[in-house]
Amino acid sequence: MAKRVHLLVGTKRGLFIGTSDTKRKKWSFSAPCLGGLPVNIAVADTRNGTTLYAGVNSWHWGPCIQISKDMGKTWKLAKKQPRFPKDAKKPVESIWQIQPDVKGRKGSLYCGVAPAALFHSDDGGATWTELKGLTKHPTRSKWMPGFGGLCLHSILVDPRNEKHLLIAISAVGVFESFDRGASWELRNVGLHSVFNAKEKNSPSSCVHKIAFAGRRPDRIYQQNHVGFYRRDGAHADWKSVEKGLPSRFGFPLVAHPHDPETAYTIPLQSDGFRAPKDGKLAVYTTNNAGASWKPLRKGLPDDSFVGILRDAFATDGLETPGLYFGTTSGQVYASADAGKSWQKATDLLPQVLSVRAFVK
Amino acid sequence: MGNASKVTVKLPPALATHAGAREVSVQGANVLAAIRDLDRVQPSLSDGICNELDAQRPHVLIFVDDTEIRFLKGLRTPLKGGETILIMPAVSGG
Repeated sequence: MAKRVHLLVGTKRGLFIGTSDTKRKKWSFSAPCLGGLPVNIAVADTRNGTTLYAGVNSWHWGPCIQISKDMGKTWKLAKKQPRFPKDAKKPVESIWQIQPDVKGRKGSLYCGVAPAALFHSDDGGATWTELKGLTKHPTRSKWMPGFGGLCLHSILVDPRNEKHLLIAISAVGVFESFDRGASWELRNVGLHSVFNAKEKNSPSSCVHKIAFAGRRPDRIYQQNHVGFYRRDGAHADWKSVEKGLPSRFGFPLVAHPHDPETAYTIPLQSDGFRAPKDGKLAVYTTNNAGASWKPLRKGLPDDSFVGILRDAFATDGLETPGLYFGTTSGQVYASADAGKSWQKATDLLPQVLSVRAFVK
Repeated sequence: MGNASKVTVKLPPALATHAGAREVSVQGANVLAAIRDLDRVQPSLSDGICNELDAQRPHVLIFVDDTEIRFLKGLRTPLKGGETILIMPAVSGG
């Protein structure tokens, strides 16, 4: 069967699944899955068939992970949800991220929640266990939430070394583990501190998203509340690489899946005005690891005052990568040529919270 | 289960989807125990009504035979058997 490209668009009122052939010009979208519930994140695990995982944060019924093995037609609750022990100060408030492990560790996944904690499943998401080394980190008492809460929103698993993990928490920073999450080091040297902290490695940086560079996982890109950064090497400091961007502020970022020099971000005007500068919606790209940036605007509107949230930007990983982002006003834009040109894949969805793409 | 009473739980559609039925027969000496017994039908189903700290979710209403449990003894309201527990989403928002 010919391969198809699928988009998982998590919105404030359900999950929408978009499908196209690999030309990625014509998209059809499903009716909303999950009964109109807010879907903060939805991902596909294609390591053993196709399993969809949705992080649902219902106003009434709380946070939960639901699992579908039939492309969203039916969903089952995880048997043991990511939950804190009974003597915790607070319950799990929301699911923020679900990340399948490396290819060879089928059935292994990670989940990030708010208040910030990392959970692991080794049975395909049926049951989840808290990795307490992060929750009990010695800096924990200094962690401060961002506007979206104290959320663990990014999880990176090194494809070269399954024990090497990075996570990011707003407004705390980046943590790195070399023992599969048992212990963690704060990695904020070089980043701006929201408190202007004097110490170089302060747990007070509002990181918005991190991503491995394509085919070079020792390089990490970061979109921060106040800048775009790059880190080359496990113990290197973060380096500001934002010259040429119209603003330092933005949420999502995507690394080119094959070219480690290329990354994409969607700058917003400012912290106080979270919309494209002058309404000119634009994806910015670098092809020299952040030394310079240029806008990619062909097909994007000049009068768009939408927002783009941190998980609402994705690539499909194809040879000429498709890029996809969703807006807080319910549009999904798609590019089949690595951002050179864009088209609206769909419109009038509820607020888009997350976008993920996969090929199957 | 010691001192357990058989009761019926009526579920709203969002939870009934997972239980496979709108009405479920459970056992429990009090409301919390009866709600946790829903997990026999579908593991983690009760999480949608009470969080892991055994607190009622803030936008969920629980009635025992037409009386909201805030006017009884909350989740510790004892059950003698035969009661109907109705779970409803609160009318929230504006």
